[in-house]
Amino acid sequence: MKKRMKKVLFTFATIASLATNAVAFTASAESNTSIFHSRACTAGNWWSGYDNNDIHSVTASGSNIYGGDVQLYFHSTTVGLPNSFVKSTSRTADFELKEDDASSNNENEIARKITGHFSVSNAGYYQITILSYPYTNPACIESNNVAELYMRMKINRVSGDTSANVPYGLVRYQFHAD
Amino acid sequence: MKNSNTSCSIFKITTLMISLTCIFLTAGCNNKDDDNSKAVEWDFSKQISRQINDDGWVYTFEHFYMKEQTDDVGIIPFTFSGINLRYVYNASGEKAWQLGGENSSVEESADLEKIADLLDYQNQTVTPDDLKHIDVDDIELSVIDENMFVDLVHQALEGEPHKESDKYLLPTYAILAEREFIDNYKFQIGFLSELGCVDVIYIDVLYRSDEANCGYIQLSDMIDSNSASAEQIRAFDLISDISQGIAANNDLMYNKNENKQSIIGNIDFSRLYNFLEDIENDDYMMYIIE
Repeated sequence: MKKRMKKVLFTFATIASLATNAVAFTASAESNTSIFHSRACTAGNWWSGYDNNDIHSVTASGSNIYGGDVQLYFHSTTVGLPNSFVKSTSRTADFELKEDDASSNNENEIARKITGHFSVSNAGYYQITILSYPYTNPACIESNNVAELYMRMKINRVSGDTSANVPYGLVRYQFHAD
Repeated sequence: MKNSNTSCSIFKITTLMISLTCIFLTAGCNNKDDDNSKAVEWDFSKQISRQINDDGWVYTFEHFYMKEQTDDVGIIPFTFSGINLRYVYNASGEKAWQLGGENSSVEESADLEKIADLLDYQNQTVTPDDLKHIDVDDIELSVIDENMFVDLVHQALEGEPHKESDKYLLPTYAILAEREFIDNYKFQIGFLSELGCVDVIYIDVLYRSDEANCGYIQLSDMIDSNSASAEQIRAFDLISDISQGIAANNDLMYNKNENKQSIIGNIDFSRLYNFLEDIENDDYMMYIIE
């Protein structure tokens, strides 16, 4: 049985308690970007914001930014999964929140790894309903107060899927820094 | 729903939304050429029943199953859901297009939790035989109609598998709209698809309105309130024909050659077909509603 860790504040299933927490976050003074739509990609393959020039700056309150200071929030969307996907709780999605250090010739750091677990929400839709955090980087990822963040995403395939096409807008996401 | 939460009075759109309980045996896929054009092999199947209401709400019960024995113990066999393909926002201007979604009531969420328990979303151990014998005494709901729910369960499980076709890139649901008002209006398209078929589609025209909470008024409501011009009525009739044709023929380009150059009541149908073509080509990102 999968270990289920802390739920992110917004999930694809608009569970009332999660929605309440998410409202509290967006109303705070921390730095948030706009909300973005994920791009079309192929299930089973990584899509990278770095390779697609989808990198966004967030400003933290502190002078150094650590992995645990940044977050990836997810929001609901008016578009569902492709009708070609098998409805199985075996499906997961992998996300990496990374910090771009290419300008300083350093390797880009992973701030967080996030796993999305698919199931059916009480609303009856097959979608990511739980997020777990298998890794948070304890180290400093940026030595000033501005982080350049991007996301990598991989929707994993399940046996029986008719297609590997993941549509645009399957995920709506937002970057955040404390 | 026992108590409507939509922003408008019920409008009988007999040509667009059929007020009866439907079993989607062949909906969206009864084109005799479908078998010849189908190039997709589906490893799973579904039994689906839907209740389509004039107010835009479409309630769906679904039985999902793999055609061959599988080792996957996570298959989710039964679901119930509701989506409004006509209205994205409620009377207060809040998003309320999904049963149990944003801005849903406590009572609605409680009903869905009971349904989730009955259909066993958590453990997936309930069987078709278990559900074939349920009746309204097996579930008590406060805002969702128990009779409708039970009827949908029975009709799906007693019905034939949903037909298959080749539009496998379509999302199972989508509510899309042109991003900007051009000439003071924009098209909105909501649809449901399954197993490569467009099952239900609702097309409307949204007119910019600073007085409306959601920023626009809908042509369908103008028809309902008898405030539409004769030309707008004619345009809406054509939209109805196109919608019916798309679902009946599983063809997003239904009657494109005949209608694309039409401009009726200042409504340019080339924009509609461009929109539909973008959906067909899996290129609808600019239409996703924020």
